[in-house]
Amino acid sequence: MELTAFDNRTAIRDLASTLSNAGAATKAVDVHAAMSSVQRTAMFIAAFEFAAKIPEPIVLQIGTSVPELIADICSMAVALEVGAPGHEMTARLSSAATAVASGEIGWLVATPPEPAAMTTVTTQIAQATALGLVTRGVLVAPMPRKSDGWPRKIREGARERVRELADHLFGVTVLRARAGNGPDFSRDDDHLIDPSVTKNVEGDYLLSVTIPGLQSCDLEVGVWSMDPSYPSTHLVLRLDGVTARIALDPTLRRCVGVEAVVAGDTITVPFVPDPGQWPTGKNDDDGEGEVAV
Amino acid sequence: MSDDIERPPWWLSDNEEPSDQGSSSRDSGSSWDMASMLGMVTSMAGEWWASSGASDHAGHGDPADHPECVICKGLLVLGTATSVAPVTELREVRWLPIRRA
Repeated sequence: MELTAFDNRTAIRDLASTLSNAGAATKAVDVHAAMSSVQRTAMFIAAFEFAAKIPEPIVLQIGTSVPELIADICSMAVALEVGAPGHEMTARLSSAATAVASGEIGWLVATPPEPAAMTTVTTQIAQATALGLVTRGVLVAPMPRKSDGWPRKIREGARERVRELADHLFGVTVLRARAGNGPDFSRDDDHLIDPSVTKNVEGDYLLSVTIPGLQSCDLEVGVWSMDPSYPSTHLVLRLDGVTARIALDPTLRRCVGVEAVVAGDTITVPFVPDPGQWPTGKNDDDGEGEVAV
Repeated sequence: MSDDIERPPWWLSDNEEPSDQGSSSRDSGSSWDMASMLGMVTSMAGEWWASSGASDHAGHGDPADHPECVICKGLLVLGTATSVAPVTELREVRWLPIRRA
């Protein structure tokens, strides 16, 4: 089904109104972009709620940037959770955002074997991965076929580009159409971001995330807190203008991010424990300073 | 096969080759995606705009007198939003220095 099939005036009005009450509308600079964003998000919510009512999975065709759509959904969900907690629209938007982050929604990307399109897809896969969206795979089609009269040089060039794309997106399934038929993608092909935390000898925690396609993106890394009790609750990644937030575990919430070290497609952020967040043991009755995390 | 089959189709255009083939489809190879996306969004917004009746707004005075008009409705909502402070301020992102290993 097309996303536009879920164009619902009431949902758009409710979402725009709730965002306004949360203070978000006062920040809008590009009114046209903001209107389009609200409309797309409302359509996605309607599609998500429609899909939740039927047992079979549905396939939704989205002709615009999927990472931008997902980023809008996640950002609006955070804005409403802070600015309009308990509101019906907040709950509806949060449900859709949670489904994205929990892997219930998979993304299958299609691209022709054309350099500009493949560069766009590489960037979008990186953005979507950072947003927590499951990528089922990349389908490269249509491929030039001998039976259609394409010379060998063109056919080999297209196949080489598919190999290059697979190298750039290591970890993501990249398959090309063969003899005019699309390959099968299954849940076994799903790729999902998998942050890991280790502790070094100095006692600092190292958060590492690997994002296929990262090297083709302009990158900014930061930390952000939606709870004033903690120095930070989320790692923030901005990839070519798309902002993604990765929730920190309880241990890292009590630490301070220092810098971001980037090697290939991997980002490592050292977190130093914040003394104000960790008991020193001086006032503890049992004299021990250990804290279970 | 005709001669033009020796030229890659538009979706196989190579950025490194000069676009001197006189083909407009080849020339647009590096920007087709953005152009089509923009076109789609503009078309979508345009249809919505037309169906909303917003073009009738020019003759409206007090927004409160025209609750059926999307522009008047937006002005009322904006007025409400700007007159009431958000419940909680979102904190700023603290950007970290990046070191390439």
